[in-house]
Amino acid sequence: MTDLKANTPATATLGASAQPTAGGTPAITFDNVGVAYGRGKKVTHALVDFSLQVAPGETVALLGPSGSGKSTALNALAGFVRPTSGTVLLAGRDVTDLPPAKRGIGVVLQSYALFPHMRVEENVAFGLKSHRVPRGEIGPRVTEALDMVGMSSFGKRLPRELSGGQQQRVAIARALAIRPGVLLLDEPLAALDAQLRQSMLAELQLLKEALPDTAMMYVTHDQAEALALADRIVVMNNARLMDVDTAENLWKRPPTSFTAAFLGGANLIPCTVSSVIGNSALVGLAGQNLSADAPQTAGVEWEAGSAALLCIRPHALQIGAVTESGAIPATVNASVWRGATTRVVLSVDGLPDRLIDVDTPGHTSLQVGSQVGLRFPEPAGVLVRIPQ
Amino acid sequence: MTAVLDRPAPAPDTNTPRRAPLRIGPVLWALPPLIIVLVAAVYPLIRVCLESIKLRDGGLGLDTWTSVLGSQAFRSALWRTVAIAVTSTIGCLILGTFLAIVLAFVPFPGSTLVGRVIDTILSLPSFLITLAFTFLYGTAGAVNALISSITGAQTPLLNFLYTPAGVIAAEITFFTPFVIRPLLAAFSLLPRAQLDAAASLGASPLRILRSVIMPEAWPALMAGGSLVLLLTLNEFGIVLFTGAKGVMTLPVLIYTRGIVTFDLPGAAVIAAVQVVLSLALYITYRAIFARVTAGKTQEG
Repeated sequence: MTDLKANTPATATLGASAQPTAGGTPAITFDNVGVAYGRGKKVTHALVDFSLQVAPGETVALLGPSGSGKSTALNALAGFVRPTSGTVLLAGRDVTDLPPAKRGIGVVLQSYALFPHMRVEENVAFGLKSHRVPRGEIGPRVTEALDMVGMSSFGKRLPRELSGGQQQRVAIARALAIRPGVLLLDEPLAALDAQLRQSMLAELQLLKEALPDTAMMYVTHDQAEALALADRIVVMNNARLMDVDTAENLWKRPPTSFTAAFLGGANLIPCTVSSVIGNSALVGLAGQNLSADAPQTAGVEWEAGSAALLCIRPHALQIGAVTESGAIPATVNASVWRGATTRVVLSVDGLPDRLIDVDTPGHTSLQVGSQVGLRFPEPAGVLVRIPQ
Repeated sequence: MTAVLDRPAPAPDTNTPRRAPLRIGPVLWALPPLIIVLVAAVYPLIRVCLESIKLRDGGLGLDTWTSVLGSQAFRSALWRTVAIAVTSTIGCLILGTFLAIVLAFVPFPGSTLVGRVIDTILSLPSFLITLAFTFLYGTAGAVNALISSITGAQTPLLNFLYTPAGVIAAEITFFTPFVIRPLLAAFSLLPRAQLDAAASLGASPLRILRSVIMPEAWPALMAGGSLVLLLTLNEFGIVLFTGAKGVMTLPVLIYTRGIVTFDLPGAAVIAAVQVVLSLALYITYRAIFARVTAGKTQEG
């Protein structure tokens, strides 16, 4: 796992284009890949100019809402759809026109896609037989793959005799049995209930550590899965790659308002930059001057007087008495208990027509319509460009 | 005494199943269809069976059965019926499976039209296909005319229409859609993800077909095949139009005995055999189908 991270490229300053890997041939390369369906006026672009490189052993999560193109990118890599433009390379080999069977990629799908008439061990052996692995090797490799996912005692069962989580484990074992250099996981936990999803997520983390040389692409719309598993996250929207960076960078310094909102549901409050010193800035907000991070990334230069969005995570804000010094008066619009936290929606007096989400720990009872004081952290947040 | 008075009354036995009150409504609803089945299906069959044991002197006996079952004509017709039905069914299964696979998995322009044509064939009477065959493959048909114009032959080279091969060819043409339709339905239920997963695991299209698609389509194939076997076993129109001159099957023999020679008891015997054959085949099919589906359920 340590080696894996050592191979992970430092991407803090990388833009949303092809990412170079730290030496060696990338395991996966998308070079301006486009996928379109239909012709003429009825053409639908499912993926536009998608460029990305994934290093051997690296795990990249494709994160985005439904229809953002993340599954299309994965399907183009697996060979399930043919790109209308661009090139797909696996370990430097152009596979754009190769059928899926010739690519040697392990694929785990949301619906498990186990063959219902085959027993678990037959499912896992399917790929090995297709690759004409010698008969004597198949048994041990099936056992090895099932051991890896803790399913070795279920070899004689049929898929319908297993729970959803067990079926997903078998699907993973089946994909791993052929020892692929690249493993694709298309929303593998989406069909599981919340509790099972958590345990499977932990198992996937262990699996990732057990496969330090396998590049993984993980498609999900769940940010928690992406944050937990990925070395880098690719945020997608409208068939395009929006941002790509490490999970920490995207979380702390989202380059775009879309990423800020999609990854963690940040508040994006319009503000004016008062002054900028290095990577910090003072912004005017609701009659107060607040400090904020002002990351100087490629193509972004903050200057005094420019309009920006102040990105603040809901959990970073605090609610107190309206009389507290430094607190901005606000009115409670809604308060929803979510178990571990309470989501409070506030309308801030200095920000007309602007609602701010605040997450407070535990169960906070606030009367709708009551006056509270909203306190910003220090620094208040991070500046994000206003989308054009 | 107090003790006796205080003793709680015995609780009603909740374990005793309460008899459901007899409802007359469902019985009344079931009566009309039951009467129709009895009058339209059961009664004629009983009459056929009774006719088969009726003797010339008005009495009852198995003489007709003995003479019919012992006759060479019956045995020959029985053998020919089974041979034609089995061969046609095998042909339909092979051709139907191939066409269904092409229609379902090999996208080509006009595949929808082909599907519609198949549906149309299902709605046509069987003898119409045979009539078309006469125009195509008959001694004076288009194919023979084409061959003659090319080779200059005076006598028609293609002359199979009035042989068992002609009957089989016509039956395969007419009954193949009965295999295609259930197969297409089964293929449409097959998750696309399974095919993708199989392909990603390195399986060739042929291996995917053999190991993933066909095992899932097996019940549909069996249902289509059984239906075709039943239909070909009882087929009358095609045989009458093409092969009546040289091909005698059980339905044609029934027609000849019953209508042409007015041997109603003899025709009734053969009809009874035909009914037994069809029922036996249907029961076998149901048993196999139940076993396959029960096996799947138990596995689940």
